[in-house]
Amino acid sequence: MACVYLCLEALYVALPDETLLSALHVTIVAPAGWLLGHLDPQDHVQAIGNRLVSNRVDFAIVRGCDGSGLLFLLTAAIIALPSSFRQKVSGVLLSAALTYLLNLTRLLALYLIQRSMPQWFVAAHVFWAPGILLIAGTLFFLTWMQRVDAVPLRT
Amino acid sequence: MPFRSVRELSLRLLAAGVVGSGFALLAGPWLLHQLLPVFEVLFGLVQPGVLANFSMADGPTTASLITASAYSSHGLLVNGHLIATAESPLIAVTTETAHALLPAAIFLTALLFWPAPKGQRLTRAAWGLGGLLTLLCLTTPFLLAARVEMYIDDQTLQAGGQSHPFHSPLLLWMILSEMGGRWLLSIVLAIACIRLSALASPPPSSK
Repeated sequence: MACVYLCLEALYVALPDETLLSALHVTIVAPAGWLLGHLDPQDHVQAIGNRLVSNRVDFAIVRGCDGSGLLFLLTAAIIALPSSFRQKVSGVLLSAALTYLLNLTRLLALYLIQRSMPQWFVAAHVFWAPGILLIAGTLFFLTWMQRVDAVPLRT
Repeated sequence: MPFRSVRELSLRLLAAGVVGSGFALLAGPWLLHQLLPVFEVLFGLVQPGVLANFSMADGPTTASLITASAYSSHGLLVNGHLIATAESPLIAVTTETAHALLPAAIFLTALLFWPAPKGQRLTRAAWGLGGLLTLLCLTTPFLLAARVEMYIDDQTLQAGGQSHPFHSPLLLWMILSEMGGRWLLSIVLAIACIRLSALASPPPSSK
């Protein structure tokens, strides 16, 4: 499991900043900006590069803010668990979808906390949000593990 | 797996998460404070020639911060340029206490989540304490030492020297751990503690 995780991490670190930031804009910043614009039109939220900028908040989304940590952990755990190839592929795809949705929700929540309760931003950013994401990811993995027909290690 | 249903599993994980996070937030700052001298020793070991005084205090906002005030023990000479004289301050680097405590919360959650048979609870608690201290010592001092290394690297570049950040094991460890590796470390250490406590406890007698 650790080997898979380290490989994914190494590939991610090797990704050039420009490529990553462009991808972040298209996949995360722009959808988050669109959603925030609909949630609170008065804020005039704009997605500029890797930043969400509004009347009251300037919020940068950088390397590591994309849920990659959770996705790599789930992928490594799913690959390490004895199961069929099809189950592994579906598990990884479901993990990616779940991670994306959780991370988008995290960013929206962090933006709103920074806007309305800035004194709670640090604790929410470095402690509560990652903790909640990890618990949700673990729940997904354990549920998935119970549902797949795990291939026995020893017969 | 020792769980009857997904519902039971979810409830147990949530309960473990609440208790683990609560314990980390309540007892963690005190524990970190006691470990500051150990962090200073570890810092000196991984950052030769540079020492640091560690302290904890509330930051400009409400967040509590751990600060490493680094100084050069014998002066720092890079490419003929004296960056710091002996015993003079180099840089103060900080990290939020909550950031330092997240691995502890994950570790405690994992430890509490997995059921412990009656005879293993004490040994698991003992291994857990050891694991928790190991985890805290492997994360915060290394992160702050790596930030000082980044500063020295930057000074080296400014003095016309060459920077090789990816050749530094300390910086690689920081990148790995800050990108999510410390989550994995917490889980791996918790699994190790659970396995070791199972090995250390006598098997239940069959009557």
